[in-house]
Amino acid sequence: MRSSGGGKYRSCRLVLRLPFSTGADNHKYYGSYSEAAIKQRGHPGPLARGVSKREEGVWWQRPATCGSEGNVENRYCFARVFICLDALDECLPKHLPDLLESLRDIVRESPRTRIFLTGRSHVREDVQRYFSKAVVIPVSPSRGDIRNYVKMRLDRDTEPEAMSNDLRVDIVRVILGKISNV
Amino acid sequence: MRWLSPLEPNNRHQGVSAERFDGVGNWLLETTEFREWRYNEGGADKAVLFCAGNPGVGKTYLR
Repeated sequence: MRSSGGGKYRSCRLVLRLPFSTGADNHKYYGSYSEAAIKQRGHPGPLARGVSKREEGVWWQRPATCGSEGNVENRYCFARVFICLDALDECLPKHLPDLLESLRDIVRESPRTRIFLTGRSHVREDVQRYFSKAVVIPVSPSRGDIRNYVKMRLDRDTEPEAMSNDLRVDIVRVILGKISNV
Repeated sequence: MRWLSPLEPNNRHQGVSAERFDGVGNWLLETTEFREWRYNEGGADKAVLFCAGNPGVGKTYLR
């Protein structure tokens, strides 16, 4: 994710394509940037209030808590940005440290950023190496979710005449019984 | 995004969203851990929420 010439901002490209909400004060300060602009200026460029032109696509929002003066990094902090990365374990091991380091940089510069990660348990230590206080939630099969999903699929059966109530009950029962094997 | 990966993650995301059954993963939204994380109650120290689990348990389909 990192690169020379404005690496940390380039990292943010992933972030800001995601939708994010307006600050509590309902003020919006937006700006767009291009990688070329970053390389030229060393930062994304000046912010403009109420910009409506959405060019190549990355928006910056400055919450009211950020002063209008100060250095560039302080000015370009975000208001409640959520970064969601699924299947962190599928990241190549050689790239994982860079990825996590970039995320850590973002959080340090933008403490209101929230990062949501999923992955197999073996990357937990990697995550906690960079985020020692990361909250870990174990995810296991939810019987309720699976029951509802199976019923939905059975409701969409294209040959309902081949289905009896007993068979329907059996299908749900057997599938739920397999949950412990997942 | 192509500079990052040729796998077109946006298409993948749209596909998962379309296939997702409404209500799946709602249990997560009701946990104290998620709420604290979501509403910044833990500050920067609790900026990261990591959902860990075996393949096939439904991590990708969490809301």
